[in-house]
Amino acid sequence: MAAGSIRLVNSNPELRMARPPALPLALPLPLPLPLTAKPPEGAGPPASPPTAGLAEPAWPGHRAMWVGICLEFIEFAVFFAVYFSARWSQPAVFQEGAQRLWTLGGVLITLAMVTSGWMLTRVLSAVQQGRQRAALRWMALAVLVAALYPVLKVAEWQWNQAQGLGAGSGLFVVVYWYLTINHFVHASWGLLGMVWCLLRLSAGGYDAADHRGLESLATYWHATDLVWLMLFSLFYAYA
Amino acid sequence: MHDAPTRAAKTLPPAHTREPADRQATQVWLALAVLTAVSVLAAGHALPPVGRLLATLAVAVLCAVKGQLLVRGYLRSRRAGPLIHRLVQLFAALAPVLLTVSALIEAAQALQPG
Repeated sequence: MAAGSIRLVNSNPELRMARPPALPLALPLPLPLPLTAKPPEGAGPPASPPTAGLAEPAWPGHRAMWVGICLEFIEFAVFFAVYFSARWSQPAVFQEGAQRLWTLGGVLITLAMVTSGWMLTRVLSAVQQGRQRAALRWMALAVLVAALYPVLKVAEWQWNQAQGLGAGSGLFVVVYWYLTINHFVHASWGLLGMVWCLLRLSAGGYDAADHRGLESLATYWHATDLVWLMLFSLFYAYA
Repeated sequence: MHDAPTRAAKTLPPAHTREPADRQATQVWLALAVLTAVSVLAAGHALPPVGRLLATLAVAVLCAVKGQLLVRGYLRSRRAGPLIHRLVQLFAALAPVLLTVSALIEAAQALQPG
Protein backbone atom coordinates (compact mmCIF):
# COMPACT_ATOMS: atom_id res chain seq x y z
CA MET A 1 0.00 0.00 0.00
CA ALA A 2 1.29 3.45 -0.85
CA ALA A 3 2.24 5.80 1.94
CA GLY A 4 -0.61 8.12 3.04
CA SER A 5 -3.43 5.94 1.68
CA ILE A 6 -6.23 4.63 3.90
CA ARG A 7 -7.00 0.98 4.29
CA LEU A 8 -10.73 0.53 3.61
CA VAL A 9 -11.27 -3.14 4.39
CA ASN A 10 -11.06 -4.28 7.96
CA SER A 11 -10.16 -7.88 8.36
CA ASN A 12 -11.26 -8.04 12.01
CA PRO A 13 -14.83 -9.52 12.06
CA GLU A 14 -15.74 -7.97 15.46
CA LEU A 15 -14.94 -4.51 14.24
CA ARG A 16 -16.94 -5.12 11.06
CA MET A 17 -20.01 -6.02 13.19
CA ALA A 18 -19.67 -2.73 15.08
CA ARG A 19 -20.23 -0.60 12.00
CA PRO A 20 -23.15 1.84 12.30
CA PRO A 21 -26.35 0.87 10.50
CA ALA A 22 -27.13 2.35 7.13
CA LEU A 23 -29.00 5.67 7.14
CA PRO A 24 -32.75 5.45 6.48
CA LEU A 25 -33.76 6.33 2.95
CA ALA A 26 -36.49 8.81 3.87
CA LEU A 27 -34.61 11.37 5.92
CA PRO A 28 -36.54 14.59 6.62
CA LEU A 29 -34.74 17.11 4.44
CA PRO A 30 -33.98 20.53 5.92
CA LEU A 31 -34.36 22.17 2.52
CA PRO A 32 -37.25 22.01 0.02
CA LEU A 33 -37.02 19.42 -2.66
CA PRO A 34 -35.52 20.73 -5.90
CA LEU A 35 -37.97 21.95 -8.51
CA THR A 36 -37.77 19.29 -11.14
CA ALA A 37 -39.87 18.79 -14.22
CA LYS A 38 -42.69 16.31 -13.96
CA PRO A 39 -42.12 12.98 -15.69
CA PRO A 40 -43.99 12.58 -18.96
CA GLU A 41 -47.35 10.84 -18.99
CA GLY A 42 -47.02 7.10 -19.13
CA ALA A 43 -43.58 7.08 -17.65
CA GLY A 44 -42.89 4.41 -15.12
CA PRO A 45 -42.95 4.84 -11.36
CA PRO A 46 -40.35 7.21 -9.91
CA ALA A 47 -36.93 5.80 -9.24
CA SER A 48 -37.07 6.86 -5.59
CA PRO A 49 -37.93 4.18 -3.07
CA PRO A 50 -41.61 3.86 -2.12
CA THR A 51 -40.93 5.08 1.43
CA ALA A 52 -39.87 8.49 0.11
CA GLY A 53 -43.51 9.39 -0.56
CA LEU A 54 -44.40 8.82 3.10
CA ALA A 55 -42.08 11.54 4.36
CA GLU A 56 -43.79 14.85 5.19
CA PRO A 57 -42.43 17.72 3.11
CA ALA A 58 -39.82 19.54 5.15
CA TRP A 59 -41.01 23.01 4.16
CA PRO A 60 -44.73 23.75 3.82
CA GLY A 61 -45.15 25.69 0.59
CA HIS A 62 -42.48 27.78 -1.07
CA ARG A 63 -39.72 29.32 0.99
CA ALA A 64 -40.29 32.73 -0.64
CA MET A 65 -43.83 32.73 0.72
CA TRP A 66 -42.52 32.32 4.27
CA VAL A 67 -40.15 35.23 3.74
CA GLY A 68 -43.11 37.30 2.50
CA ILE A 69 -45.15 36.28 5.53
CA CYS A 70 -42.39 37.35 7.91
CA LEU A 71 -42.25 40.72 6.12
CA GLU A 72 -46.01 41.00 6.50
CA PHE A 73 -45.66 40.33 10.23
CA ILE A 74 -42.95 42.98 10.53
CA GLU A 75 -45.19 45.45 8.70
CA PHE A 76 -48.10 44.78 11.06
CA ALA A 77 -45.81 44.89 14.08
CA VAL A 78 -45.05 48.49 13.08
CA PHE A 79 -48.79 49.12 12.73
CA PHE A 80 -49.33 47.69 16.22
CA ALA A 81 -46.71 50.10 17.52
CA VAL A 82 -48.70 52.94 15.93
CA TYR A 83 -51.91 51.59 17.46
CA PHE A 84 -50.58 51.26 20.99
CA SER A 85 -48.78 54.61 20.90
CA ALA A 86 -52.07 56.25 19.95
CA ARG A 87 -54.09 54.22 22.47
CA TRP A 88 -51.76 55.01 25.36
CA SER A 89 -51.77 58.71 24.48
CA GLN A 90 -55.58 58.99 24.18
CA PRO A 91 -57.23 56.06 26.03
CA ALA A 92 -60.61 57.77 26.42
CA VAL A 93 -60.87 58.45 22.68
CA PHE A 94 -60.12 54.81 21.91
CA GLN A 95 -62.62 53.52 24.43
CA GLU A 96 -65.36 55.75 23.09
CA GLY A 97 -64.53 55.01 19.45
CA ALA A 98 -64.44 51.24 19.88
CA GLN A 99 -67.98 51.26 21.35
CA ARG A 100 -69.28 52.62 18.04
CA LEU A 101 -67.74 49.92 15.81
CA TRP A 102 -69.88 47.20 14.25
CA THR A 103 -68.95 44.31 16.54
CA LEU A 104 -71.14 41.80 14.71
CA GLY A 105 -69.38 42.78 11.48
CA GLY A 106 -66.02 42.04 13.11
CA VAL A 107 -67.28 38.66 14.29
CA LEU A 108 -68.62 37.82 10.83
CA ILE A 109 -65.34 38.79 9.15
CA THR A 110 -63.49 36.59 11.67
CA LEU A 111 -65.79 33.69 10.86
CA ALA A 112 -65.28 34.23 7.12
CA MET A 113 -61.49 34.27 7.53
CA VAL A 114 -61.30 31.29 9.87
CA THR A 115 -63.83 29.21 7.94
CA SER A 116 -62.11 29.76 4.60
CA GLY A 117 -58.79 28.88 6.27
CA TRP A 118 -60.29 25.65 7.57
CA MET A 119 -61.62 24.89 4.07
CA LEU A 120 -58.13 25.37 2.67
CA THR A 121 -56.86 22.68 5.05
CA ARG A 122 -59.52 20.38 3.59
CA VAL A 123 -58.41 21.30 0.05
CA LEU A 124 -54.84 20.32 0.89
CA SER A 125 -55.96 17.13 2.59
CA ALA A 126 -58.04 16.13 -0.44
CA VAL A 127 -55.23 16.93 -2.89
CA GLN A 128 -52.75 14.92 -0.83
CA GLN A 129 -55.11 11.95 -1.00
CA GLY A 130 -55.52 12.37 -4.76
CA ARG A 131 -59.23 13.27 -4.42
CA GLN A 132 -59.25 15.98 -7.06
CA ARG A 133 -63.01 16.46 -7.25
CA ALA A 134 -63.35 16.88 -3.49
CA ALA A 135 -60.42 19.31 -3.51
CA LEU A 136 -62.12 21.38 -6.19
CA ARG A 137 -65.35 21.47 -4.21
CA TRP A 138 -63.58 22.61 -1.02
CA MET A 139 -61.60 25.19 -2.96
CA ALA A 140 -64.74 26.67 -4.55
CA LEU A 141 -66.35 26.85 -1.09
CA ALA A 142 -63.24 28.49 0.37
CA VAL A 143 -63.31 31.17 -2.36
CA LEU A 144 -67.02 31.80 -1.78
CA VAL A 145 -66.62 32.15 1.99
CA ALA A 146 -63.48 34.31 1.68
CA ALA A 147 -65.36 36.54 -0.79
CA LEU A 148 -67.71 37.44 2.06
CA TYR A 149 -64.90 39.52 3.52
CA PRO A 150 -65.10 42.35 0.94
CA VAL A 151 -68.90 42.22 1.10
CA LEU A 152 -68.81 42.58 4.88
CA LYS A 153 -66.22 45.34 4.59
CA VAL A 154 -68.56 47.38 2.37
CA ALA A 155 -71.39 46.84 4.87
CA GLU A 156 -69.08 47.86 7.69
CA TRP A 157 -68.03 51.01 5.82
CA GLN A 158 -71.71 51.96 5.46
CA TRP A 159 -72.27 51.26 9.18
CA ASN A 160 -69.33 53.46 10.10
CA GLN A 161 -70.57 56.28 7.90
CA ALA A 162 -73.92 56.09 9.69
CA GLN A 163 -72.11 56.22 13.04
CA GLY A 164 -70.13 59.26 12.00
CA LEU A 165 -66.85 57.32 11.91
CA GLY A 166 -65.48 59.08 8.83
CA ALA A 167 -61.85 59.78 8.05
CA GLY A 168 -61.95 63.11 9.87
CA SER A 169 -63.40 61.73 13.11
CA GLY A 170 -60.24 61.71 15.17
CA LEU A 171 -57.23 59.60 16.05
CA PHE A 172 -59.08 56.35 16.80
CA VAL A 173 -60.84 56.28 13.42
CA VAL A 174 -57.64 57.09 11.56
CA VAL A 175 -55.78 54.23 13.26
CA TYR A 176 -58.74 51.90 12.80
CA TRP A 177 -58.95 52.56 9.05
CA TYR A 178 -55.16 52.49 8.69
CA LEU A 179 -54.88 49.00 10.13
CA THR A 180 -58.09 47.42 8.82
CA ILE A 181 -57.69 48.71 5.26
CA ASN A 182 -54.13 47.44 5.20
CA HIS A 183 -55.36 44.05 6.32
CA PHE A 184 -58.08 44.17 3.70
CA VAL A 185 -55.44 44.80 1.01
CA HIS A 186 -53.45 41.77 2.21
CA ALA A 187 -56.59 39.61 2.33
CA SER A 188 -57.51 40.74 -1.19
CA TRP A 189 -54.19 39.40 -2.46
CA GLY A 190 -55.00 36.14 -0.74
CA LEU A 191 -58.45 36.10 -2.31
CA LEU A 192 -56.96 36.65 -5.77
CA GLY A 193 -54.51 33.84 -5.05
CA MET A 194 -57.43 31.59 -4.12
CA VAL A 195 -59.14 32.30 -7.44
CA TRP A 196 -55.88 31.52 -9.25
CA CYS A 197 -55.49 28.24 -7.33
CA LEU A 198 -59.12 27.35 -8.05
CA LEU A 199 -58.49 27.80 -11.77
CA ARG A 200 -55.26 25.78 -11.63
CA LEU A 201 -56.94 23.07 -9.59
CA SER A 202 -59.79 22.82 -12.09
CA ALA A 203 -57.19 22.48 -14.87
CA GLY A 204 -55.43 19.65 -13.01
CA GLY A 205 -52.48 21.82 -12.04
CA TYR A 206 -52.07 20.24 -8.60
CA ASP A 207 -51.82 16.63 -7.62
CA ALA A 208 -50.70 14.55 -4.65
CA ALA A 209 -47.07 14.77 -5.72
CA ASP A 210 -46.94 18.49 -6.51
CA HIS A 211 -49.14 20.97 -4.65
CA ARG A 212 -46.63 23.39 -3.18
CA GLY A 213 -48.33 26.39 -4.78
CA LEU A 214 -51.56 25.44 -3.07
CA GLU A 215 -49.77 24.95 0.22
CA SER A 216 -48.12 28.37 -0.15
CA LEU A 217 -51.50 29.99 -0.67
CA ALA A 218 -52.94 28.26 2.40
CA THR A 219 -49.93 29.39 4.44
CA TYR A 220 -50.40 32.98 3.32
CA TRP A 221 -54.11 32.90 4.12
CA HIS A 222 -53.50 31.46 7.60
CA ALA A 223 -50.90 34.19 8.26
CA THR A 224 -53.36 36.87 7.15
CA ASP A 225 -55.92 35.21 9.40
CA LEU A 226 -53.49 35.43 12.32
CA VAL A 227 -53.12 39.17 11.72
CA TRP A 228 -56.91 39.53 11.68
CA LEU A 229 -57.28 37.68 14.99
CA MET A 230 -54.93 40.25 16.52
CA LEU A 231 -56.82 43.18 14.95
CA PHE A 232 -60.10 41.76 16.19
CA SER A 233 -58.84 41.83 19.75
CA LEU A 234 -57.53 45.39 19.34
CA PHE A 235 -60.71 46.91 17.91
CA TYR A 236 -63.84 44.77 18.19
CA ALA A 237 -63.20 43.11 21.57
CA TYR A 238 -62.27 46.38 23.25
CA ALA A 239 -63.13 46.31 26.93
CA MET B 1 -61.05 14.41 -13.29
CA HIS B 2 -62.07 11.69 -10.86
CA ASP B 3 -61.81 10.79 -7.21
CA ALA B 4 -59.85 7.60 -7.76
CA PRO B 5 -56.40 7.83 -6.17
CA THR B 6 -53.64 8.74 -8.58
CA ARG B 7 -50.39 6.81 -8.83
CA ALA B 8 -48.63 9.39 -6.71
CA ALA B 9 -51.35 9.18 -4.08
CA LYS B 10 -50.73 5.47 -3.72
CA THR B 11 -47.42 6.28 -2.09
CA LEU B 12 -49.14 8.44 0.55
CA PRO B 13 -50.80 7.14 3.70
CA PRO B 14 -54.32 5.82 3.14
CA ALA B 15 -57.27 8.14 3.72
CA HIS B 16 -58.18 6.81 7.15
CA THR B 17 -54.76 7.78 8.53
CA ARG B 18 -55.31 11.40 7.45
CA GLU B 19 -58.71 11.65 9.16
CA PRO B 20 -57.21 12.69 12.52
CA ALA B 21 -55.55 15.68 10.79
CA ASP B 22 -58.89 16.70 9.25
CA ARG B 23 -60.61 16.26 12.60
CA GLN B 24 -57.96 18.37 14.31
CA ALA B 25 -58.39 21.13 11.71
CA THR B 26 -62.14 21.09 12.34
CA GLN B 27 -61.61 21.28 16.11
CA VAL B 28 -59.28 24.26 15.67
CA TRP B 29 -61.90 25.98 13.52
CA LEU B 30 -64.63 25.40 16.11
CA ALA B 31 -62.37 26.56 18.95
CA LEU B 32 -61.46 29.77 17.08
CA ALA B 33 -65.14 30.54 16.42
CA VAL B 34 -66.12 29.91 20.05
CA LEU B 35 -63.20 31.90 21.49
CA THR B 36 -64.05 34.83 19.20
CA ALA B 37 -67.58 34.87 20.59
CA VAL B 38 -66.26 34.57 24.16
CA SER B 39 -63.88 37.52 23.70
CA VAL B 40 -66.78 39.69 22.48
CA LEU B 41 -68.89 38.62 25.48
CA ALA B 42 -66.00 39.41 27.83
CA ALA B 43 -65.49 42.91 26.46
CA GLY B 44 -68.74 44.05 24.91
CA HIS B 45 -70.20 46.11 27.76
CA ALA B 46 -69.36 49.06 29.99
CA LEU B 47 -67.36 48.09 33.08
CA PRO B 48 -65.83 49.76 36.14
CA PRO B 49 -62.00 50.17 36.11
CA VAL B 50 -61.24 46.84 37.81
CA GLY B 51 -63.75 45.06 35.58
CA ARG B 52 -62.17 46.68 32.52
CA LEU B 53 -58.75 45.53 33.68
CA LEU B 54 -59.95 41.94 34.04
CA ALA B 55 -61.86 42.04 30.74
CA THR B 56 -58.86 43.39 28.82
CA LEU B 57 -56.61 40.76 30.42
CA ALA B 58 -59.15 38.10 29.41
CA VAL B 59 -59.18 39.43 25.84
CA ALA B 60 -55.35 39.35 25.80
CA VAL B 61 -55.32 35.72 27.00
CA LEU B 62 -57.98 34.72 24.46
CA CYS B 63 -56.00 36.51 21.73
CA ALA B 64 -52.87 34.56 22.69
CA VAL B 65 -54.76 31.25 22.77
CA LYS B 66 -56.36 31.89 19.38
CA GLY B 67 -52.97 32.83 17.92
CA GLN B 68 -51.38 29.63 19.23
CA LEU B 69 -54.26 27.52 17.94
CA LEU B 70 -53.85 29.00 14.48
CA VAL B 71 -50.05 28.80 14.46
CA ARG B 72 -49.97 25.18 15.63
CA GLY B 73 -53.12 23.89 13.94
CA TYR B 74 -53.04 25.63 10.55
CA LEU B 75 -49.84 27.58 9.93
CA ARG B 76 -47.51 24.89 11.30
CA SER B 77 -44.55 27.23 11.17
CA ARG B 78 -42.37 24.74 13.08
CA ARG B 79 -41.89 22.93 9.77
CA ALA B 80 -40.43 26.10 8.24
CA GLY B 81 -37.38 26.03 10.50
CA PRO B 82 -36.51 27.52 13.89
CA LEU B 83 -35.87 31.10 12.72
CA ILE B 84 -39.20 31.55 10.97
CA HIS B 85 -41.00 29.68 13.75
CA ARG B 86 -39.57 32.08 16.33
CA LEU B 87 -40.54 35.10 14.23
CA VAL B 88 -44.09 33.79 13.89
CA GLN B 89 -44.29 33.09 17.64
CA LEU B 90 -42.95 36.55 18.37
CA PHE B 91 -45.61 38.14 16.22
CA ALA B 92 -48.36 35.97 17.72
CA ALA B 93 -47.30 37.11 21.20
CA LEU B 94 -46.93 40.80 20.36
CA ALA B 95 -50.55 41.96 20.50
CA PRO B 96 -51.44 39.92 23.64
CA VAL B 97 -48.41 41.26 25.52
CA LEU B 98 -49.08 44.86 24.50
CA LEU B 99 -52.77 44.43 25.37
CA THR B 100 -51.73 43.29 28.84
CA VAL B 101 -49.50 46.35 29.21
CA SER B 102 -52.40 48.52 28.02
CA ALA B 103 -54.72 46.98 30.58
CA LEU B 104 -52.30 47.78 33.40
CA ILE B 105 -51.61 51.34 32.19
CA GLU B 106 -55.30 52.13 31.70
CA ALA B 107 -56.23 50.63 35.09
CA ALA B 108 -53.51 52.66 36.81
CA GLN B 109 -54.75 55.84 35.10
CA ALA B 110 -58.38 55.11 36.00
CA LEU B 111 -57.59 54.36 39.65
CA GLN B 112 -55.48 57.49 40.18
CA PRO B 113 -57.15 59.82 42.69
CA GLY B 114 -58.56 63.00 41.15
